[in-house]
Amino acid sequence: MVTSVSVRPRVRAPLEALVVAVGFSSLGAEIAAARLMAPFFGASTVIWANTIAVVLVALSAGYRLGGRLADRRPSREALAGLVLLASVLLAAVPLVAHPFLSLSVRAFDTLSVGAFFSSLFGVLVLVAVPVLLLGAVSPWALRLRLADLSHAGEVAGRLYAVSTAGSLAGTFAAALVLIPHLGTQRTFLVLAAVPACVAVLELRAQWAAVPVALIAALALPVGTVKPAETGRVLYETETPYQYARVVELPDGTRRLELNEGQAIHSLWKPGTVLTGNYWDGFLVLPFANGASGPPGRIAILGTAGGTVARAYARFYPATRIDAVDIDGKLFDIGRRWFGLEPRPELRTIAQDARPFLRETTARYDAIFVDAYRQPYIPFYLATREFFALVRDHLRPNGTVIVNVGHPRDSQALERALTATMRAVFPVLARDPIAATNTLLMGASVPLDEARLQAAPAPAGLRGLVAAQRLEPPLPGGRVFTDDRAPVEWLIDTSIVRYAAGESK
Amino acid sequence: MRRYGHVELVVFAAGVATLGAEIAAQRLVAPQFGASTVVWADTIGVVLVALAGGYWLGGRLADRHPRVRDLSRTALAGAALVALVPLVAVPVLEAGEGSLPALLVLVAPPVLVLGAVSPWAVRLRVTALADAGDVAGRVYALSTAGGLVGTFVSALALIPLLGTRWTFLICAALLAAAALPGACSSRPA
Repeated sequence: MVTSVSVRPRVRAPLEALVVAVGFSSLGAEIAAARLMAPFFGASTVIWANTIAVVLVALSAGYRLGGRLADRRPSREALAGLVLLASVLLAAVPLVAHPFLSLSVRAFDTLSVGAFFSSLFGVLVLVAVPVLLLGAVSPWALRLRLADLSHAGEVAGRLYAVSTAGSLAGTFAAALVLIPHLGTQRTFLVLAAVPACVAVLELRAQWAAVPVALIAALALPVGTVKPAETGRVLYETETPYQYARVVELPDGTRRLELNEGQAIHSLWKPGTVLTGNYWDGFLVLPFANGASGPPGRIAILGTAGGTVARAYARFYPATRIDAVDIDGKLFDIGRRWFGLEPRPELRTIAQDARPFLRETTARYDAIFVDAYRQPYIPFYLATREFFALVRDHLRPNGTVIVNVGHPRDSQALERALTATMRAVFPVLARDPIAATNTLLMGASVPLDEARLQAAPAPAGLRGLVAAQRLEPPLPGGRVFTDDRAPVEWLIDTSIVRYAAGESK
Repeated sequence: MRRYGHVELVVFAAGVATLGAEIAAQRLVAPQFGASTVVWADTIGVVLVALAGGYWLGGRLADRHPRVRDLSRTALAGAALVALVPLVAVPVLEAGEGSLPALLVLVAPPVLVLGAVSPWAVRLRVTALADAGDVAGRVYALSTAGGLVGTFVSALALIPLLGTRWTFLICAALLAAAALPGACSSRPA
């Protein structure tokens, strides 16, 4: 810790500058911490809740500590020294976190719940220490600024406001600029350098080496964020929404993984557009309404790298496709790695699915719903109001097909979605197409297996048609509404049960 | 003076209500506007700017009215505004003007008023310069602890079990219950 024995530095920024810089850094660090962990632990409520809890508890403790230290050492030098220490610790987080993060990868592979959570808390403790120190700054600054008691309110209000303005800048800078352009590791360095630069103005000149070193560290190469367990990483990037990577397996198959990579969002195989998985169902199920040809126009809500759009281009080149995804970066990945070739019949639309549907006047023969923000379906794409919107955008014979991903043997989510769709569509059917995926169909016209089997499918799809089984929808489940749609709750419960079962 | 009394309770409850309302607000606007980065940025932006304004305003009001009763009445007004959100939401969201104007109408007013509570509490509790740091640290910590409780209770229990509308109403009721004794007090102190 720096002492206050002092040669006064030449420049002194107002105390408010330090408070702004610390506000910038602490909320920025919260965002960056969530993104640091997402490639390894995912972004489920469980991880989110632990991150928020640790950050807020650390902040609270920091406030308490800062207030006490301030009364004992009401000196600006001491405060600046604390900020400098916090920024060094913050910059070190992504480097020191690596062993914990690699441990989590092995824990994921072996489904070891204990190791998973110990690595999670390891990372969180690393984040908590600098956040705690940063929390100490606000009450300390207040103590230093307070000249007389009758203006205590004004001083407190101003410092609170200034710190919040810094937080706003830090949140936006981290999420919208730094992480997408510099990556998570360098974001931590920037978040550390900002308060360090302001703090050294209060300290003796030699301490300027600290922010200089932090800025110089930006030049260090970052390396692969997350090495592949099997196969090799062709490409990885941070988008404004998530960590995305393309992995190629030894047989040439490419997978698009998002965040922790538990689910595969797009699949590309050399020499074929078929995947042997749920994506293929979207090619044949639209015939279950007895249509005499392939759908003329479809919307894919949740396109990712474009596995389904690519297969349509091959088998039904005349079908017009509106391919929607909230994360436009995934279209770039699709074009480069997943054969999502630009052509006049294909429109890619980077927009949230529900506003897209609300604003478009188009009518479709089929709407495919495959939007996931792992491990959840966004709740507002799983409600009665949403399916009413879907129905309004279907032609009279049109069908909606929803991909319901679920842990093995857990039907809770499918039951709820079935009940919700039943509130809107008179006819429902299910196709249990893969061990962890059901395709759920809704329509206003009869759907049956006989019509599906008699479908005029292209020669390359006959075997696929023959393999599909249409079953009656599952009973039970509660209708989800915009007001109450506990998607996260349902999925968390099944994940916890699954994990508990595995760890026995 | 007791270290933890009515003022501290109001600070904690205001923390619960502020973060509880922020989480519920994201849920409220998602069906209309989605959850794209733009909507997220609008939500965070409106909440933080309103909070900053509330802090600044609250501090000035506190110096002019350094009374527990006035703080409690402000908190009560904040609770009333939180309770109004789900009612006002129906026409505002149907107007469909975009997420920023909707959030400005729905979320900014209650958050602005709630932001006034913390600096006001600091003003009321600081009795000597020598312990100002300790008092400020305690108020900050309590408000953050309230925020933690608000985040968790709304995201993990209220929203999944009771729905978005009830979450607003329960957060408001909690804050009103905490503020009511001070607001009704006949003693101006």
